[in-house]
Amino acid sequence: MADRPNSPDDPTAFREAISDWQLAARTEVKKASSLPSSVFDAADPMVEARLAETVDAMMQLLHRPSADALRKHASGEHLEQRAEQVAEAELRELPTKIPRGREDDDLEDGVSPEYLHVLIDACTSGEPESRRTARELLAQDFAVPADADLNQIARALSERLRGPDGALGRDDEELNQLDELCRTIAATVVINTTDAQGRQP
Amino acid sequence: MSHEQLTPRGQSAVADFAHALVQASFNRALHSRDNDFVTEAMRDVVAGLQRAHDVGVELPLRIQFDELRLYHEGRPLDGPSLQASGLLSRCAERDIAVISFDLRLTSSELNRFFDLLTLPENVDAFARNHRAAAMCAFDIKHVKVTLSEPADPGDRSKALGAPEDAIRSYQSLAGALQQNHELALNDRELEIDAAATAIEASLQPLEEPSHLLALSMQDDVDRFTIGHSVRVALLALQVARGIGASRDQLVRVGAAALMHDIGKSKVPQEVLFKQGRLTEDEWRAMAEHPRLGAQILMEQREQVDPQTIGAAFCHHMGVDGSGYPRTALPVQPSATSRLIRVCDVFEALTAVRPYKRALTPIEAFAVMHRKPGDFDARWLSTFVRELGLLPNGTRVQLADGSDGVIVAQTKDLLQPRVRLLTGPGGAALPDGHPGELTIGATSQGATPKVACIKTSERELPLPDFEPDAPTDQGPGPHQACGDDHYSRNPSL
Repeated sequence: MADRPNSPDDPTAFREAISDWQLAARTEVKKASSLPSSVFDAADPMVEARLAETVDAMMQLLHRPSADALRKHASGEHLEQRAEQVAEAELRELPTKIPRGREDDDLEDGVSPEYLHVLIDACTSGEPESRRTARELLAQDFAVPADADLNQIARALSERLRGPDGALGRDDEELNQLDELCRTIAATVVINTTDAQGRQP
Repeated sequence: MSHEQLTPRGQSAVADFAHALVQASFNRALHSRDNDFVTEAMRDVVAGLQRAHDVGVELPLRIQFDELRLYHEGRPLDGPSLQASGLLSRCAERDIAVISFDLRLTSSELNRFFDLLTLPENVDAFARNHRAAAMCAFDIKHVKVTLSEPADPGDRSKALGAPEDAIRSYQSLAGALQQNHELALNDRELEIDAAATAIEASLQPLEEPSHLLALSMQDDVDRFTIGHSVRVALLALQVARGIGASRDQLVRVGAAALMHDIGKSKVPQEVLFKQGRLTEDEWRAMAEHPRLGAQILMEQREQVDPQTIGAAFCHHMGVDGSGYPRTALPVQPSATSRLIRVCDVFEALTAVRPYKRALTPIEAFAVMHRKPGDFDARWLSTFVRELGLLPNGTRVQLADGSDGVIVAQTKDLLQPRVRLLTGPGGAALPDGHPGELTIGATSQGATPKVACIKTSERELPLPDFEPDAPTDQGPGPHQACGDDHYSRNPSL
């Protein structure tokens, strides 16, 4: 980092010092970041801008502190708010990105498989009470028997997921992977829900 | 000094103070009086009073109430009013018309005042013959209460604010959501029916879309993202209504959107309300809110639709299962979840927040189109088409210097209808002028063109648009968003 100016009353030295500090601060932040410079620059230029503003504000305060300025800076009023920048070209091209034709939008699309996934997730990773509830709902809403063994659960899950609504299992390889995954999940469901039931008061 | 005579900073300070007051009331309803959040909320009110004083607002600061809104000097404070149903009903129960706040008010004194205002056992404390004794008993010297006088309506009849039915709908949605967040926080059974009833009641005001936008632009400093969720619900309802969804579908989609962030009630408060950047552990806790929300809703499956459970779980997911939460099987979000994700991010980009500038809708659309896979392309297009590139309610200046407001959309995204507020250069409209015209449509030898969008903060110049794509090509492939900056932003 740059040294502080020798004479705080020398405006030229002061401005140079601010520039040096800003440059040094930007460099330090980039060095400290684990992101490559190109990603860092593209990701959030506001970080650098805010850093530069802050260094500037600190130096100004050190140079000419006043009660008003101190209060203003403590409140953050001097800082610009974060602003996503949108280029004019982006606005100009926007209408071309909106297709004129409209497809049939179906709000019911994909509800059932999504819900099944949520229940499976709750069975495998939820708290004991949620696992128990999810297992009950699998029985209630998807006819996966509440007392089903591992193979029954795996088969039921696989059939549901590859069914007319299911998005998975488009070829043999995917189907095999799906069956294997369902067996793994079924095992987790059995273990977790048995465990959850065992913990019931 | 009237509200209009205040500087913009003065008006903003009054609105901030009113927001803080509403927030303090909400926190008192949610927590015990000694809870840290209550203490902080009381301090915020006192700090707001000081800030108002610093920018020249005359004290004591008088906030007026009726059953619908808060006012300052007869001017409606629509933003704070939207979530003030609890405070307004308590004032109405106690017949309170005005509360005045003196600069010497302290946070502990304000907390005692809220004892009088919010505790059921004190409902009679402000009765005319009890009031002085009650204020004295609670050692309240710097808050004054004025009760309603039948002959003293003030000048509120002249108030120009959002339409009453729209305000009521918003308050009703916010009230239902606040109630459910509170119930979830305390591990109690949710009141899903209240949410559904509020959604049904909101459908009528949605017939006038400009009301929706006006409400959607109100700033919001609430906890539990109540205002955010209400606006996401209103946007989702607007789109669903536009594509011809049935009433049942509207209620289901509205409920799913309203409850999509219910899991945040289970995220530790110090994480949820942290002002700075989240640590990795804090981020992991925040990223659990979709899973937590789904599990809360699952417990009441008999009242909750699968769409609502799914949307709570999937609203941060791309269609290929990217985003979060991570799952063993790749999840394909439903159409409802994909629509809610679009509404969720749009709301966050266009909302006023203390730490960021609000984008105009057209800027938000541009940002959301940057990466083709960030959103379901079909729903994003439908969303833009339903709202319009310049949504109804947008203030604009035409190339000839006339000011106007967009009031209707046409089949062409680039040709909305505008209602003129002034003639060229701010002059009055000439007699006989139709008052409304279509952008881009030549009339009387002139072709009106929008030069810029005007917000309370800035003017955004608009370029000459490239023509709307004359193609019936479908949208691009349905791709997933990655774990991108939308997903990483805890406020979304």
